[in-house]
Amino acid sequence: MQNKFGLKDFILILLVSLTLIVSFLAMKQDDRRWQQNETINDKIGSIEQLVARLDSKLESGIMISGSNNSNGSNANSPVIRDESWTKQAGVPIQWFDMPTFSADPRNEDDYKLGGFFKETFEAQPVKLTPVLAEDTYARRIGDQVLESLGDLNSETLQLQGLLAEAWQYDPNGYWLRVKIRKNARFSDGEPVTAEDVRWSFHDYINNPQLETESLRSIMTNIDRIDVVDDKTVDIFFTNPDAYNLQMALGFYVLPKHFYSQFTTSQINQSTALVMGSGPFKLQNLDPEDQWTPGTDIVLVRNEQYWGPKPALAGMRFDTITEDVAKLTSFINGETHMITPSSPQYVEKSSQPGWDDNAYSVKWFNMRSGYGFIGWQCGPRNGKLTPFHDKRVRQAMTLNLDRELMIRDIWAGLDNVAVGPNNPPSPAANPDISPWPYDPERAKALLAEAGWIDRDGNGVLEDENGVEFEFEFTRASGGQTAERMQKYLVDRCAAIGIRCIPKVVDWSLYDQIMKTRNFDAITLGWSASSPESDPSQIWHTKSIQNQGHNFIQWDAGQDQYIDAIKAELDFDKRMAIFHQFHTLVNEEQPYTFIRSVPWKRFISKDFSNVHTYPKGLQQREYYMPAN
Amino acid sequence: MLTYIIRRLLFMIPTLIGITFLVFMIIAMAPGGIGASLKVAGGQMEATSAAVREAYLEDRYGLDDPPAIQYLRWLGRVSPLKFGTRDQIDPTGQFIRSPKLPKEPKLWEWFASNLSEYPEPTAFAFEPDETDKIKIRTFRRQNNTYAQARAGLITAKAQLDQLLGAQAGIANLKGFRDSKGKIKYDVIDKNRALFESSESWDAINQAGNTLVANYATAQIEWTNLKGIFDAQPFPQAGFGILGPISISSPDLGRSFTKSRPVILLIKDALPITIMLNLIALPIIYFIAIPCGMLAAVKAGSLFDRLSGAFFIGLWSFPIPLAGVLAIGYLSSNEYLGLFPVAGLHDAGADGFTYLPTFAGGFERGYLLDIVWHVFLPIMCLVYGGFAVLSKQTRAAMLDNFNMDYVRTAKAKGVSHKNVIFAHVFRNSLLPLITMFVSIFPAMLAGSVVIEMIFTIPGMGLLTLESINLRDRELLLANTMMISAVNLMALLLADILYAFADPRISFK
Repeated sequence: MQNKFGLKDFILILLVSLTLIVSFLAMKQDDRRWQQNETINDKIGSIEQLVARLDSKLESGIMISGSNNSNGSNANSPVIRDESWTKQAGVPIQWFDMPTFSADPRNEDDYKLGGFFKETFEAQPVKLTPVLAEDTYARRIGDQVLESLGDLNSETLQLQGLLAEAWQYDPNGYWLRVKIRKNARFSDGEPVTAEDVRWSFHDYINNPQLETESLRSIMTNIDRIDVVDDKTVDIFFTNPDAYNLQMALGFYVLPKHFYSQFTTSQINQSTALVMGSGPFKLQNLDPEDQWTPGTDIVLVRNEQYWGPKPALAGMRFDTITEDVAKLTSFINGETHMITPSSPQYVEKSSQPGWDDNAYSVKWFNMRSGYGFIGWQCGPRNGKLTPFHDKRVRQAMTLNLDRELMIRDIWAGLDNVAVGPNNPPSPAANPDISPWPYDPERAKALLAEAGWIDRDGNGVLEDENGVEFEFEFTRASGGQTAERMQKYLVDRCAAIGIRCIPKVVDWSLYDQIMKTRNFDAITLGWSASSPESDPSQIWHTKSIQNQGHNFIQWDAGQDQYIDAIKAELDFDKRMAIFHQFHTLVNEEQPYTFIRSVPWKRFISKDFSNVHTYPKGLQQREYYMPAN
Repeated sequence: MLTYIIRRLLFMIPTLIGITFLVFMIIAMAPGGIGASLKVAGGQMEATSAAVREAYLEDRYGLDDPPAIQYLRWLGRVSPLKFGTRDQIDPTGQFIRSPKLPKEPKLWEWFASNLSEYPEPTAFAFEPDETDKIKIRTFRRQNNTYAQARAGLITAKAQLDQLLGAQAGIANLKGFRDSKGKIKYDVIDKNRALFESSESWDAINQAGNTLVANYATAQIEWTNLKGIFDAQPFPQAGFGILGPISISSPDLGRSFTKSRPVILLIKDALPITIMLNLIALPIIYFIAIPCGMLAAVKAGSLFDRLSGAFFIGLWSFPIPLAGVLAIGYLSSNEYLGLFPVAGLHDAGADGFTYLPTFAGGFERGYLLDIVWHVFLPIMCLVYGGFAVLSKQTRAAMLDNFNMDYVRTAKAKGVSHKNVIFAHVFRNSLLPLITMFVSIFPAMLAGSVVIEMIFTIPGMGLLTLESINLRDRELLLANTMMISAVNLMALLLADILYAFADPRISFK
């Protein structure tokens, strides 16, 4: 048992050190190759940019010699447009100029190309492949990479042509003919054709082997899409509806030549097969080595873009779920844009010196949602709840000081919601202001409805002596929901109502809503467009069959909703929307609590940051010179 | 010894089945049940659209079957031993299963006197010299046709359910839905007259006829597809043993919340967790064991008491708080700003060389970049582990110090150093071995919190999500993996015991 250093030990040590040295040398050699690789990559990148610049110069040269193309520069001279593609003479045609920036960064003095903009998501997107991916993060990526025939103007929120240069819409609402822009092309240089539009609808969205059912099941109003010629399509509708136009022009146009090289199961299981005609493209489009959740999503500028090219060299997205970590990452400059929590927003934006490095923006836009308490207006398990009486619902609203709630529970950043549509949506009735806080009037209304404290025990009873007691359902988790519940219980007790909180797991909500098994429930709706179709939530046909009118409210709203859907004219439709809003405000089927603004911290390393009713336009940002 | 190991391994199979079954059933019984989150994800939709979407999801993942059937189906797929028609493999490596039968429509008696039978399958045979490409195309074309027919069946069923539900609602029929809001067909069937006399009967009848007709179409297309499938357009998976029994690689299925194969999700997540633990474990051992030894040798000294108190203090400090504090103070540029906040790589890591470079200023390189990024998570993972291990070492050493053989060794003049290292420490190793094998599975679970705080996409996060979202495939695969690791660790501990301690034998 002597510890002597023998020949065997010597050989062992020799072998180990040899292995170490060899692996070190191998790593060194690998690094050398890597560096060479990088240099070559850089060179190819600059050559690609050069080619793209030459290409666009060539193309614009041709346009000038053609001189009949709408370039937007000489707007006062009458433009002669080729109308041979139209379907029916006499039906008005809507023409659209080339899309431009809302705030053009190219006019700024310190405008410079380049720079990567990094945004941090607060939840991990699962996949990015269009239509199959459903979450809001995938949509944010999709909006940079993919384009549809039309989109909403970021300031006016009016529908305008994007890939579509013009369209002709049947006054009766049965067909739509769309002319696709001549110069529109995908990020690999292939032109966007009518066949791509047809294919995207019929063989992608409506392919039963693809997991696209969320969109497929709501696009039932489109009967078919026909190719007329290379750049013209006809879209036919099964029945006229105010939302047809938005639906027909709103889906992403995907390149057939790219997607048809994959089998359906390859697309179903893909994480990031995203290719389109947008201003950015996915840096890595290799189907064998796709992006996976947990790594950064990297977009680079589409050098072949047919519209106004962004200044940014690219965008990068990562995910941080923890609130403190997210904010720290922003402060450290590791990310350029985060969505802060309400307390973080309040604390940081008032901190001295914060504004030197960050834009703190808070604004209401078309996607701002609202939070509410829904009252069960119909029967629960065959029995009517107290809330079937309009006066009781009004009293419940009057009894809640929503300004106080917003200040104390949600850090004071939100607005009191006024109805199913809130500013800046044109569908909100500007004449309606929120119900005031007035407990006395609430009591009076309750008494009028027959709820009086008859036995003097502090709780209201109806004429049969049944006490006013109801169950308030909320999702578990989250301090704000708990504080709101406490406030509600307190306020109810103050006017003699017993409120019993019921806390359930979020995954149960669907079941509770479907079976209408609640007295009062709190929830939020988010909007996806300036005028969401009200029939999903409010129409009485959504009472039957577990639709989303889970509060079973039926007060003659159908006449407005049906009229809204049938009215193709925007202004007239808005007028009906306002009448509908008046009815909802009077009836109070929901107590509208707060309408929630978007909040962002954006780094001042970037310029030209504006907020729009449509959201943010990162493609306008640039990293100023100096 | 070998027979013992084989016996233990065979026993693991029923144990694994038992564990996964229990876990699955508990989740399935929980309110909402399997796949509840899928339905919530729908957002605002018209009732009909939502119903159609739900019908598609139920059809694809078999969510409308009873939980026990769902479990058995999973078990059949995950077992390497297969019964019945063998799967085939398409060129992309995808398993092609024998086509699913269309479901018999409910209440068909209302609309047709007899339900159409499956047509006699016509044996389909490819030309002997047919190219693979044409075979595959033939199969895919028919597969698409069948998918269309099946989609027609699903939509028709959803539409009929809608009409029935609406009418039953108008007529105030009681109890026609179960607690999950699904239509109970037996209740509806009993009240047939109610529907036939209603105004919407025409629409119901029409929808029913469509359903029955679509069912017939689906049957025909299924038979056609089955014929082509049986002609084997693709090579068969695995190899056959006897008749319908074959051996093939286990299939963990697809996660329906992430709609990706579970195996790929685990392939992404597992290496990260293993890396964290492989770095963390040696750190714990290299600090805790020497400290424990020193504490035992100098039992009762200031060092013993201080280190003991210090480790216990660390052990009692909650990890989530430590993580947030570390981020807030060590990572934030407003304070120290020493470490990155989240993730495993720098944004520019793809362009880094592997080793650090000094030419033109210092650049970390890929290797050092990872170390820098995992420093805080590892720190949080490690600090709570010292106490248990060092206390265990100390106790085991103290036990041995009082043994007769130690006194003998001292008496015969063995140096103090040798007594400690060659005698006492060696014999104290026994409990440390078992500790190692039981710590490893515990750490797999323990890194959940750390992965959450530092946004590291590892196994802990994946498992937690699968429970929250009630994702059947992901949950079962994770449960199986964690329990398999645990069982293997227990076996390994027993085997190591036998090697370390001659008194133990498994004869």
